[in-house]
Amino acid sequence: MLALADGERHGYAIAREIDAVTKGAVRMGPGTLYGTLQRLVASALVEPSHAPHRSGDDPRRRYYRLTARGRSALKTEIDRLATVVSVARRRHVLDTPRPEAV
Amino acid sequence: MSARRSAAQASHAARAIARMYPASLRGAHGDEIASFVDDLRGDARYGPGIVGRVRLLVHLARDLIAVRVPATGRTRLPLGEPPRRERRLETLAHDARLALRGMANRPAFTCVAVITLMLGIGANTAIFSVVSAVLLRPLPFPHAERLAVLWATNSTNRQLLASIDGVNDWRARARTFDDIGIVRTQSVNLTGAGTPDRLVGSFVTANSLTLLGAHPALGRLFVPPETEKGTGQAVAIVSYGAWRTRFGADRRILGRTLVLNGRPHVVVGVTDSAFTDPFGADVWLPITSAPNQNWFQRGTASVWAVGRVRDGVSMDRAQRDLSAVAAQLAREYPATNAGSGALVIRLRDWLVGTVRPTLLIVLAFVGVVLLIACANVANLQLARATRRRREMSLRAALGAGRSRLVRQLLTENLVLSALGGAAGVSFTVAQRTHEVGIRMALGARRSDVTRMVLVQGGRVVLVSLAFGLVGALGAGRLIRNQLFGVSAADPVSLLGVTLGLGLVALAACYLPARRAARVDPMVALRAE
Repeated sequence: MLALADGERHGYAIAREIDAVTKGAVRMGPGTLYGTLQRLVASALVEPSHAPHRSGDDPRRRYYRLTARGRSALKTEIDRLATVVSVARRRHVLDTPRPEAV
Repeated sequence: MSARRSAAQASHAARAIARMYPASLRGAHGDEIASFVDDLRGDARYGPGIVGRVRLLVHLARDLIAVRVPATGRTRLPLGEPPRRERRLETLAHDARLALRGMANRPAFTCVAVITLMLGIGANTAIFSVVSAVLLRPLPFPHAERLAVLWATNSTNRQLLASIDGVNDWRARARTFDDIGIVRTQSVNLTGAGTPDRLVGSFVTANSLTLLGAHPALGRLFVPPETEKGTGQAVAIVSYGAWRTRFGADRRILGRTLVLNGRPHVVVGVTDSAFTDPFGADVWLPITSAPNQNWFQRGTASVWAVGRVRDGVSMDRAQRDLSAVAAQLAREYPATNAGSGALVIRLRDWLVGTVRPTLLIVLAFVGVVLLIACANVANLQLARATRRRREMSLRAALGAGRSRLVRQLLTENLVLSALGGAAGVSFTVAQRTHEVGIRMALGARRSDVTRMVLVQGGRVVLVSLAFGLVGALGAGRLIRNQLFGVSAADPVSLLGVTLGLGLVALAACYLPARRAARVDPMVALRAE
């Protein structure tokens, strides 16, 4: 969903974006990607865009964008994660552990 | 194979994988998936060389497994309480899923192990099927162990042609044989029926065909007067194979006249599909149709014979009997038979001949190759087992018993072996498409071919089971020092899992078997 935050994208572009953001740690194939999109569309968090195709674009592609509900759910989830991260920071969970003197 | 061709095949395989996604996904996103795969093929990481293409295949295969083999909710570690009977199948399915996902996550290990097993199993299946057909399976003739091929000998040579009169004398005087029939194969020219052709002709007496157990599919076999000097008739019998391939399986062939060696012969029968002539004849003619009438002079060595030894008589005794008859004939006809003896060779020994030791050596050789393959895979597994101590000790800490862990490792090994086995059998089937085509052209039904491949696959499954069981118990011992005070192996569940997975592995062989059965004989034979 984060990959759709700054505008609509087609499936392959979403996979590339996720690949780039996670520095190659998450590489989605067509099956996992469209399976996820199917679930997101069914939950009305994402919708296919009906904008006309760009010239020179592969006509088989479909573009997807966040719905208002999706954008709100994304914001809620990121807020929740931000809270978790800030709690973790306050408790120094993210600090590099130093060897303790005996 | 050129790199370009390999890359093209990998692209083809990529599209094939894309077609294996669930129908629900293909229905809603088919075009998009195709476009996605095309984009991936254009991606610098996945092309254009063979390495890139293989990387693409691995990526798609992992994706396919992730979609087809869904994770069971949260990662559930198998716990230690002995699973109840009704949960065993669920546990088995869980283990198999775990094994598949584990293999998808380690594509290099999986590829190496599967290819190693594939080559070992493929070579063994191919050679073993030859050995089994040639050395182990009984010959397809009635009383095959009593059938012998009879030859003349002289002081320097074994296995010489005999004269027709000589064989008739053997038949009349030898007491250890039920019957002896004359055989001589020679190519014959077929003219007057479309394109002229050369067929393998066999000049015989009527009893030769009955000795070999031939039955007619159409018409009849020869009757004795038709093949005897003086009463011989210009008749012919066509083999089932030649009838299908050369005469288009035309049922009106009976009564038709074939011009063989320039002489018209009336077809009186077609042998049935189960009959295989050990001498490879396409068409049988009476010995009286011999291309050269000199054959009938006592001094002319022109034929050999096939005989059936009486029940309870050994080949050695039959040999002594026939030698005595030959010595008697040498005294009676010194001008033509002096120094001439007789040789009795069991039909199987004559057919297999010098191939037996060679085949056994090749079998031993590929057996060693399979052992090496198994040892390699076992090494790979052991290397992984040391890396997986942490995972295993965590499971043991959560209460998994030794039998539970062994069962999981057994499942992993069996899934791997089943994949290797299926790949090996597929490899063999691909190599034997031509043979399957011939079998089907000769009348083998699809169910026969499927059964043939399944029986061969079954042997592979047995080897896999033994290998999987030994591997799992070995790995279980290796990690035993990680397990504190846990239950001993449960023989009932181990046996149950072994049987269940054996069936699964056998089912894996069903795919190549079905593929073999779908071979179109016309296509397979045309490829030659």
